[in-house]
Amino acid sequence: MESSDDIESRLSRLGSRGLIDTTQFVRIIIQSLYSLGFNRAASSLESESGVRLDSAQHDRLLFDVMSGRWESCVSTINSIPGIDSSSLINASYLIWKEHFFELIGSGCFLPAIEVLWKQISPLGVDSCRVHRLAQYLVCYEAMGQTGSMGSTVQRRISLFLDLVEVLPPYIRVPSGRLEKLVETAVLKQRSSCQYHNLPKDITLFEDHKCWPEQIPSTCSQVLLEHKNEVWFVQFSHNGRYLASSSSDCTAIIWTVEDDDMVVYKHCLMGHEKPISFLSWSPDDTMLITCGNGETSKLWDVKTSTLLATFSDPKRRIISSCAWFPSSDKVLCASSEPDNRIFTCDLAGNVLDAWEGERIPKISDLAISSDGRLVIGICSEKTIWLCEFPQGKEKVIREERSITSLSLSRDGQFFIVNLNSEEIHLRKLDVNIGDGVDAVFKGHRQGKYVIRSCFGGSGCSFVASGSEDSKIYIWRRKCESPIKVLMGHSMIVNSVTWNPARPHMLASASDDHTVRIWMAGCNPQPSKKLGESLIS
Amino acid sequence: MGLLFLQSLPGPKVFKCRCCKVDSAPHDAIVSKNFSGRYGPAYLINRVVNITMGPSEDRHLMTGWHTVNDIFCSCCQQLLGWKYEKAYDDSQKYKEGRFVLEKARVMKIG
Repeated sequence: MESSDDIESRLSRLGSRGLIDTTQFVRIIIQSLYSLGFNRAASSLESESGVRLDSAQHDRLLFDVMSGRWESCVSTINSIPGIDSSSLINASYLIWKEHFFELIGSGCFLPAIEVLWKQISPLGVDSCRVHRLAQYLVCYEAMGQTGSMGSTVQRRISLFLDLVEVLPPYIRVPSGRLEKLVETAVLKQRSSCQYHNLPKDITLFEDHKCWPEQIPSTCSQVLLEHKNEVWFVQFSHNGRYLASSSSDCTAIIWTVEDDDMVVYKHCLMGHEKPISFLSWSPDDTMLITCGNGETSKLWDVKTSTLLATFSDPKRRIISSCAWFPSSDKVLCASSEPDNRIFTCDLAGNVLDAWEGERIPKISDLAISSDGRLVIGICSEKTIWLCEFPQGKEKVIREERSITSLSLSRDGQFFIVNLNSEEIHLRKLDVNIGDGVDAVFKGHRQGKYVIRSCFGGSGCSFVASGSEDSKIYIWRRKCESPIKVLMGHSMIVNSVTWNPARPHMLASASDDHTVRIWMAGCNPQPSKKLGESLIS
Repeated sequence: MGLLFLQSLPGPKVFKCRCCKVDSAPHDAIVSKNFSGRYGPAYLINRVVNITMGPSEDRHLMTGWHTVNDIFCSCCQQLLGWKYEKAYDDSQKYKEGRFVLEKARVMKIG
């Protein structure tokens, strides 16, 4: 057994910068060994290193408290080096209060009054507390609720625990201290990791670092089925289907296979005008497509048949629509000749409508995932938030025109693309202020409707198309893009991130193609319909 | 080319592009009706929408040297007029940042 002199000969400071005091380090190791249950290891570490888990004052204080020697408690506390006066007062107050209660409990009122008078009031604590203690003198029953929580031993133990909270931490190492320190370090590494996309087990053996390949970076497939510009693309909520719509007046549903290949399923034909917008039902069984200046159609996904056409006797143009979470009602916004927001069921019957002079022209509409908040983009520059069905409203004005809107999957945030080549991120709440939570820049946008989306695990990334045929990906905390994907030859109209597979991204472009981007995999040639090209 | 983002103007009186009928300028943004453009009479307007701008050029107009950008309708690419970027004469400074809209290329609605 090495003698305890050896602790002197060891380094007194650890770590590359000499920040860690060896004695403190050993104490927290001993404490975590005790808490894990390795009592023998802990006590042999104590004797080997000569460092005791609990300081001398701790043991003395424990002894004094348990035996009720209050005077020596106070003198022990006073002898603690480096204690500041407010902790001293709080600790003394706790000790004398316990003494006071015990005296009352045993019926010695005169000594109790003396304690109150001589020891507690000179401390200078909050006078209401002192007065309440005086009240207990008079009303013994009131004290019965607060004072006698169990036997004397239990009360003294809880007094000791309270004391330890008030005194400086080196008297007694806070429980779970080592675990807390390690956890803080790991969390800090994880949050500063730029490309953290695929959830990975945290290992303590090396610093956590994600590589740029963990977000979608290579084009694995190019889908060529559309015959004209592809304007909109979106994954279903369960990530198993992809829908794309094009100015060739068709929409195509694709299946996402288990090996991450995207396969053509069916083409939805029937529109006479280019399809500008489509929306998956929350249960992914139905799809609504909106023609540009034309009626909307409802399709069944499994059988790819047309279920209903939302036509209108007044031939109104439906500019956008949003599903309610129950998948049985749809909220639509229409314009020309008059602006109208209406709810309709799956057969096209109008259930409820807001119309009139005051209703503005709504270009984009969305419903939060719990169905309680409706967001609309009115007159291109205003964001309108409204609690549904009737409730508080909030109107936020933007400086420049808003071209598109997208919600995050957890329903907490939304992003809007502006004409001024910025994307603004805001919190989805009727009670927020007007300030923007985050701004993302770097992409190009001027004339066309460019759409963006949230994505990645935990929705921590934002991706957007751009007029310079590139796809930009940002981390939510940072204004500049962390990744730019090149491959399309014309403007990228819309991007969508697979909600179930955070390593997969799809983009739609005017070059008639839909491209699938994967994280960290090599593009593979395939001989299926819609052969993929290695770009 | 993509889904064009077209702004629509409220208000009863607007000017629309004669070819493709998208909104171009609100009537109440007119500053002066006495201008002449390349194709005849023109307006000086504060604000136009749904346009794309051409490159900056130095041109000698009736009122002197100016730096202008031609403006085109973003939908049908028709030349609608120009924007004054910089005027070199002090008396012409009021035109900077404003647009000239050719009467022959737009039609008034309302």
